[in-house]
Amino acid sequence: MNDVLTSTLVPLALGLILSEFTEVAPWLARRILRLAAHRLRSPEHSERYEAEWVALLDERPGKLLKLFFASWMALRATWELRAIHRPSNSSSADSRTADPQGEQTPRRRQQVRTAFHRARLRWFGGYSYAGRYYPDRRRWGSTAAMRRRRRNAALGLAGP
Amino acid sequence: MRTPFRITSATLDVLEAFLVTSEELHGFAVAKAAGKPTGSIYPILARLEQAGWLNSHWETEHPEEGRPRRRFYFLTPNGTQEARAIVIERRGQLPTPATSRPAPKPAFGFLTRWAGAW
Repeated sequence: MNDVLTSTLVPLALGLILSEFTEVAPWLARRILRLAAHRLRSPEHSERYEAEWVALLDERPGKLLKLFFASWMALRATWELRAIHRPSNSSSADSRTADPQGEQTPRRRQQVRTAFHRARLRWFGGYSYAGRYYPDRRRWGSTAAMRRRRRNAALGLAGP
Repeated sequence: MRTPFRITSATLDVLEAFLVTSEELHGFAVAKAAGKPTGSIYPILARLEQAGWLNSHWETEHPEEGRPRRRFYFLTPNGTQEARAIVIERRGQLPTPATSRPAPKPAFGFLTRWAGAW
């Protein structure tokens, strides 16, 4: 019975599932693109990008490739497009000149990153240089300090 | 030169793709010419369009039966000037069709020729 299952039924079921999935893939790709376009939260841009991406989707050969393409667009493009076409960005020209270099990173993300950065400096010490964080290697509990204590203990030296 | 957005190397590739050709390009053609994935091209196009460097319109000719219409992008006169200045500043020279040709792909013709020798 087990042999019949493993040799016939399981491959048959897998084949059926795979063929069904392949058939469904283009439809699923369109749904993903529609969802991605609607995540832009601007009806005008949603409609435009949906039509544009569906046209691109039709040019892609293969069924599974369409699905990969749609997933990639949803993952890669939507996030940034949403930040670019945010109502405050697109409606007023002043906001464009106020923060010209920060358009690629959403403002909320920048604020969270800055707060996290400051908290880390306050709690764990260390310093930051050119936008990078360098931990305080002399701090109690740091890996460097632990290695130093171990080495000093092995050498019979006192001190931290 | 101060720009209304950050100029990345992908942005320069897209600008070069537009400067090389005098035709209007759709998203897939831009991605192909710039050698970048389509997903990363659209944010760049949106940013350039928002800055007024690019303009776009829907396909006006009747597309083939059942094919959805495409959107074409082209540089505005102001965008062309800005793009030229930026590309010269960052890359040292303007792209020419010969230099912007994509790298040759490996040819596998030797396999078929080798198989034919048997």
